[in-house]
Parts: sequence; structure tokens; C-alpha cells
Amino acid sequence: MREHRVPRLSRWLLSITLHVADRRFALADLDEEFERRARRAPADARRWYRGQVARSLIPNMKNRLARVPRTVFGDLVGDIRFALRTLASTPVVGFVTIVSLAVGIAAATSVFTAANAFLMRPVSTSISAPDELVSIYTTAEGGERFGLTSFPDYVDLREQVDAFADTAAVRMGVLQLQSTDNPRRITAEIVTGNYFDMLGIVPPIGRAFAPDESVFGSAERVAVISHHLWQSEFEARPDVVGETITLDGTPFVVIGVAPADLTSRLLALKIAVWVPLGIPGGTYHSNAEELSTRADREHTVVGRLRIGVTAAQAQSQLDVLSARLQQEHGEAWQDERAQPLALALVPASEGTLPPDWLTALAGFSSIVMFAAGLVLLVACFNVAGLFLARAGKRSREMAVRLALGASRRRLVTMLLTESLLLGVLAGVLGVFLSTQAMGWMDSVTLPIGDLSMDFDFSLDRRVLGFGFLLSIATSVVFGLAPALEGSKPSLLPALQGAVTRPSGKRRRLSLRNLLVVGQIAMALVFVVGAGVTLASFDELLEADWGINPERIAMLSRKLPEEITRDATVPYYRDLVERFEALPNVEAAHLATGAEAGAATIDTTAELYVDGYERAEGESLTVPLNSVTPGYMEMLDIQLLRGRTIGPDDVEGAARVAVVTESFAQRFWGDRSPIGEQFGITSLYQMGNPKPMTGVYYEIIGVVADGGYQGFEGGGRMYFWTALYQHPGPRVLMLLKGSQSAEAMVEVLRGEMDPTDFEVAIVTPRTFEDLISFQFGFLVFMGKILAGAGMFGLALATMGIYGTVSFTVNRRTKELAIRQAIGALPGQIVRDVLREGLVLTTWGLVLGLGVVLPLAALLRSEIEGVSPVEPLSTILGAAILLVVAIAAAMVPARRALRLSPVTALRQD
Amino acid sequence: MAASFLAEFELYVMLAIARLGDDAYGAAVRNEIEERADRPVSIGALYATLHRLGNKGLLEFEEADPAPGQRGRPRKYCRLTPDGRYAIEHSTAKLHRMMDGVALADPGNRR
Repeated sequence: MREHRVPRLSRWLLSITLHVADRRFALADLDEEFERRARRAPADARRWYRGQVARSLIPNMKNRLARVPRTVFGDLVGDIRFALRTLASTPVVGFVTIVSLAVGIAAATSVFTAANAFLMRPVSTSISAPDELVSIYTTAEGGERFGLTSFPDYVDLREQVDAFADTAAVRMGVLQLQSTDNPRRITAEIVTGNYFDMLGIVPPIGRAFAPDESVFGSAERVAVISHHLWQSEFEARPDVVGETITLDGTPFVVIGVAPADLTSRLLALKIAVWVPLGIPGGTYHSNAEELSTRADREHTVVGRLRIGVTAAQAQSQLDVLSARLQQEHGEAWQDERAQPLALALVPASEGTLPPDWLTALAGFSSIVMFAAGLVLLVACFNVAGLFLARAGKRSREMAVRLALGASRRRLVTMLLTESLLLGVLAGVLGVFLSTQAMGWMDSVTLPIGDLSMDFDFSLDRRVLGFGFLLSIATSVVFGLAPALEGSKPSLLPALQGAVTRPSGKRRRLSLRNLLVVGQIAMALVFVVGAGVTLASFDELLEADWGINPERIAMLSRKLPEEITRDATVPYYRDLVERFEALPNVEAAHLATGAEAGAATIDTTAELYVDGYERAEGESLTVPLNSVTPGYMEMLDIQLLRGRTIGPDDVEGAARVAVVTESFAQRFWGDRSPIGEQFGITSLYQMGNPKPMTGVYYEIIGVVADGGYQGFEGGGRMYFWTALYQHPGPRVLMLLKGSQSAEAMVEVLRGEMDPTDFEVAIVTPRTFEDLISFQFGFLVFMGKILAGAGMFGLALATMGIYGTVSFTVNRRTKELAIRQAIGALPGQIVRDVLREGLVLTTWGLVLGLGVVLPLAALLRSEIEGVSPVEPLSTILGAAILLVVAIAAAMVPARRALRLSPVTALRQD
Repeated sequence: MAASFLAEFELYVMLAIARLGDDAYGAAVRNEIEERADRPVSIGALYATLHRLGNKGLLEFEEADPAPGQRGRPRKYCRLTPDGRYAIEHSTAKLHRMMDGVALADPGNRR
């Protein structure tokens, strides 16, 4: 029935500006006409509608003001009326002001929206008594690292700590949704049966889990689905309860639909389905074995404090429990440096993220916020310049008002009301733009797992409040200085119509000059900032990983269950041979991981070297990759000494390893490590939960150091072993094509196993894509920062041109007179130029003074930040100089071409 | 009745309402002026004027909830009060008197 849609933004604008008493009638009237027109020509109708709204805005506001009882706000209403009239008489100034401020406000509000959603918001607004909620973490490193909690620990906490009215455990998971038209991987929370009750959330449709529906209590497989899934899979049918959905190949009965705003605890991530923890048969890591392993820490514990119990009291009870658990379960209650763990409580008022994440994210968002704030500041400066210019033109009006007895304070209030009005309008538009922008950014598809992550970036009161405060603040920032300056004209000359300053002495530091200096400085900050950001990301992407990932694609594979341990190696050999035989395939290999952070390497080993004394707290956990013969050659890893994994390294032969230079250096110094041995005290291998112990490896080769661990990994120690000597059940299949990686992606596509839900790389990807994915977020942020920089630069350049040319323009009369009384044109131009150059130089010096230390600070704080690029800095400075010169020259030359008589008659 | 002179746009609105009779609501009035006077009217200005005329006691309103055939749209009907009728007569009469006998020298030059 929605044949032709009314322009949404316009209708919204109209409805908020209309007086409440008229609103529904006026909107209905327009809708009626729109419909009639749309039947004839939809495009014309939309244009007509927009025109109607545009011409209604000012009458609407006047009308609303006329209906405010005059006595209540006295002057204010009059001021606003006057401001509206002024605005209507100079629509261009108003338009430019509102749009530039709105963009700045939109930038800052968007950053705030994301930060708010990520850092501050509770999981839902429908939680009852959110102040009583707490998160409980298992912390390591003396409380510095906040981690997840194991299920047995949760059970102990539940039974032994009485500070909580209730506690629930929840873990995140990814489930495969079987659906006829759109099978996909969806985000899930696997929760104890009391999760919804504990939060006080009542599903709007159906019911929540009963406490006995989790942890092996009930035989039924039940699920609560999200509002979104309800719409996409069940067409929002109210009788959805009792239907089934198939998750990971198993049918679940839908018992309820969650409130629309219920998100995950992490980063406002939207959850598609909730299933109980530990249902019979086990779903997604919640079988009896996994739920009884104390070292398997996968759960977040959420609790509700008993009434009257403080967080501190609850924490001291947790301390008692921690001490007891440490005693009873020594090894399972230590971190990797053998330090005891502890339980720590964080009140919900401090957010739902672990505090260490919070710190990291807050640091990051403040950098982005700084960039957005700078853009907004430039916008303010531009508008201030514009208003200052207008204040000059209105000096006569101000003088008349002063002469008639208005106080200066009254004038400032009047002028500030104007800027406030513009600021608030810009704020409304800015918040709207921001919601649109966030709408484009709220979904990210991960290449690993092909999972679509959706974030809830909806507006809430905090965001609206922020936008409002921001518009008030901007109004003051851009309005105060021009208001103060504009309200103090020298009475007599202003009344006589003189626009230029009367006395011969010009103040060196007039407000306008300060503005120019500030704008140039900020523009330079943008140039340098954008340069540094872009250079840093280039560097990051082109980093030397020590491998050549070209023309390679990969896919995860799981060993079929019917293949026995003895049949594994022959099975893998067949697999490799089959792929090598395919056309266009140059090489086929299997590995347990992929270097440069392409695929997370879950395989790490705790090393032991005879004769090496481990320092106190030193960690010797090193990642490794088990590979087939020739794998290292396929990646062009640079061999320094010895040999790589070869065809003779098979089961039964001595176990061999290839190590990095740093690895060799650490234990054997400058001696050749070839033939030396190292042991492994425990080896955690992908898909192989039981550690291997007491195995020795002989070093057969040394390779150059490289970024094998990827961006996240700091260390340079790394080693390779032979897959055929200890094959595991999970491998990556890597193919190198003779032409392109994309062709290999197509080959691997046929190998996807739609029934295997636990593989890491579900659909084939190129090696290079996977490497760059680890920077996905950073690159995205970099683009935002660089975009902010470019935008800010453009705004600042416009502002500089405007302000400088205005300053010179004001001197038209003076310049013409000087020429008339005999000054040489060259002399006059030199004069004007000198002033422009002095200001520009000051701006550049100030800008460099700010940006160089700032860049140095960033470089010392964040790894991988490039040094300031001299070329882009000089180029940027040159552009600014040219802009400033042009801005001074164009009006100066125009002034010189005027005849003095004409110039004198101008005002 | 001291303040019975109507501004030009007010007069247009009043005349449109008088012409439409029982059918005078926002969209109809707007359309009437646009079509007859060939003058663009914004809905915002119309409602602001309606409110002003109402305040002067020249119009009264009746808010009607959606009737069948209106696709769920409410309407605000306007009716002239006796004062309103008087204001129209008064203003138009004065206008006629002012125009009487005025001959514009060059009707083609509209500056």
C-alpha cells in the first residue's frame, strides 16, 4: 500500500517545526495533496513536498513564537523573532552556517554514539533496577586483566556467596541457522536458565527460559529469538511460539521473542538467538565435559546484588571464595606465569565491558573524538569569521541601538540568541545526519566465519543530550567573540556610515587576525595528521611479514570422523596430491596455521631447553605451525642455515623443527643451533584439547625473523614442525595458483563443507585478504581519520580564504584613497601581501608547534605510527600560503582597479 | 470593530474560506488560493495565518477526526464568524473605494 513515499526528512522537519496544535492537520493536508500529485508525477510531487516544507519552516517558527506568552520570556522571544527575521533576510549566511556546523556536530555525535553504544549502555533499557547488577570476572596479573570464568567456578560462586540475589552465566557463540532462503551463521548467547529472570527482562511475546531449562535439567531444546530474527524468519507472526528453528542442524522450539533492544554485553553487538546452557546432548561447547572443566574459562558471570549489600561487601565475599578456590584447585587457578587468579566484581554503572577493554577503547575513541572535535572547531571558526564579517556590516545597526539606549549586554544577548538559534538548528540537522551515517556503519561481515556482526547504534537520551549540549557549546564558541566585537562600534563614525575602523592605528592582534592564525594552524594540523595517518596505514599494510602471500588462498578443513589416527597421514597426502594435480595449481599444502596473522594460530608450545635458566616470570610460550614439506618454500620464507621441513620428516623419524633467528639467538647465542634440541612441556593444538608433553625436537634449519605472528603478536620467536610427524584433526588447506589467488578461491569453493560448523575459515579467502583483515578495524578508523583530516582541511581553507579576503575587502576604500593620493600600486599590493604573509607565517609556526610534539607523542604511545612526512607538510603549508595570498591579492587588485570616487562611495 | 482591516494574505485566506463554505479545511484552502490567485502558499504560512485570524475572532475551527474516504487523515475545518464576515466586507469595500477611478499609466510596466 505504500505507493509513493513522502520525503522522510522533509516530513520530519515539518512535523518538529509545526505548532503541536496544528501538527496532525497540516501533515494530513500535505499528505492528501501529495498523494493526489504523486498519482500524476511522483518525482514532481516529492519536489513539491520539499518546497512546501522549505517555505514553511520560517513561518512555522514565527507562528510558534507568536503563541508563546510574551511575558514569560520577555526579551528572549523578541530576540528569537528578530533572529528569525535576520536569518530570513540573509538566507545564504544561515544556510552555510547551519550546514557546516551540522557536519561538524554530526561527526562528533557519530563518534559519541559509537562510544556510548560500546562503552556505556546497558544490554537493554528493559532491565529492572540496573544499578543492582554487577559483572564478575576472573582476573589475572594482579587484577590487571579481566577474563572469563569457568562454569564450575560459577557454580561454586552461586552456592557459596550469598551477597547476590541471583547470578547467571552467559557465553557468546556462533550458530548455523538453517533457513530455506538464507542459511547463515548467527550470533547467539548461551545462557543459564535464569538469565532473563535475573535481568528482569520479560519477553514481549512468549516466555523466557525457566531456571530448570538449562544445565541438563530439561529434555527440551528451546530458544528465545531476537526481535530481528522474528521479523526475518517468521514475518513477525504473533503466533511464533511453538515453531521450530534449526540451529547447528538441531531443531529448537521457539518459546519467546526478546525485547527489540536487548544486545550482547560486548560492544552493543546484536544477538540473534538465546539458547540454554548445557541442554542434553550439548550444544556449542556446553556438554557435560566442557562444563565441568575448571580451566575452561568461557563464561561471563552477571549478578544482582542482594538489597542492602554493597559492591565492596560482595567483593570481600568473592575474595574469600577466590582464596579457597586457589587452595583447592592450585594449577587451574593460576595464570600462565603461575600467579594466582582472583574473582573481581565490576558494578554495572561502569559498563558491561571488562575494565581493561574499556581503557583501551576509551583511549582509541578519544583520538577519533579529538579529530571530530577539531573538524567541529574549524567549522565554528569559519562561522565565527562569517559572523564577524556580518557584525562589521551591522555596526551601524548596533550603533543605532546603543545610541537609543540599549545596553551592551542587551546587544550581546541579542546577537548570541541569533547564534544559539543557528546552533540549535544545526544540532537538529547534525544529529539527524549522524543517525543516517551510523545506519550505514552498523553492520560488519567478518571474513572469518562469514559472520555478520550488527551493532545497535540507536539514539538514546545520552546521545540526544550530547548533541544538544554540543549545539549550545558551538553556538557560544562561534557566537560569543563576534557578539562582543559587534556590540562595541565607535558610535559616531558608525552612525555616519563608516564601515572601516576610523583611527589610523590598527590593532596588531585583532580578533580577525587571530582567527586567520588559528585557522591556518588548524589546517596544518589536519594536513600533517592526515599525512601521518595515511603513511602509518600504508606502512602497516606493506609491512614485511617475511612471507610472500601472493596467489595463495586457503580454507579450513576438518578430518572426517571415520578416518582413524593411522589413516590420517595417508588421507592428508591424498588430499595434497589430488589438489596438486589440478590445472593452474602450482602448489598445495596443509598447515595448522597461517603466518602474518592470516589465520589465528591456536597452536602454541611451552618450551624447555636443557641448560637454559628461565628468568622469574619469563614466558616461553611460542607459536608454531605444523606444515607439509615444501610449505615454507611456497611462502618464500628466507632460509639462513640448514634445511626446511622435507619429505623424509615422517612419523617414526626424529622430530624436527625449523626456528627463527631470534629463537636460535635466545638459547644458543651466536652458535649454530643446527642439531640442537628443545623440548616441549605442553603443546596446545588446534582441535586437540589434550596437551602433548615430553616431546623433543631437533633443529634442522634457521630462517630469518619475520612478522610471522602477525600484527598482534609482539615476539619474533616462532617455529615450524612437520605435520606428517604429528597430524592433528584440523588443518588449513592452502593452494598457490599459477595465475591468481582468486582462481584458487574458486577451486576451494568446491571443498566447502556446509555441515562443519566449527571451522575457522568457512569460505575460501585469499592469503592477502586475511592478512589485511586483522587491520580491518584500524584501516577503517584510519579512513575515518584521514577523511576527517581532508574535510577539516577543506573547511579551514574555505575559512581562511573567506576571512582574509574579507579583511582586505574592508580596506577597499583605504586602498583606493592611497592610490588616489599617489601610492604606487606595487607598494600597496606589497603592503597587503605582507600583512597576509605575516598572519600565515604565524599560523604555520603555531600549527607546527602544536602538531610536531603531538605527532611525537603519538609515535611514542602507539606502535606503528609513522614520523611526520616532510613532503606532505611542506606541500600543505605551501597550499595554505597560496590560498592566503590569493585571498589577499584578489580583492586588493580589484580595489586598485576601482576609481577612487567609486571606492569612496562604497560602504 | 477597530482592527477589522485584513492584511492581503489574510484576505485571500478569508475569501477562500468563504468560497469553500462547509468544505474549508487546510488543504482545500491552500489549493483554492493557489489555483485561483496563482500564488504559491506554504502550509506553514497558512496555518500561522489561520491561527492569527482565529485569535482575532474572525474564524472558528472544528477539528474532525478521520471520516470514511479520508484514509485516516484528520481535518481542521474553518468557518467564518460574524466578525469574520464583517471583516471581509469591510476590507473589500475599502479596497474597492481605493481602486475606484485609479487608472495606471502603463499597465505593462510592472516595476
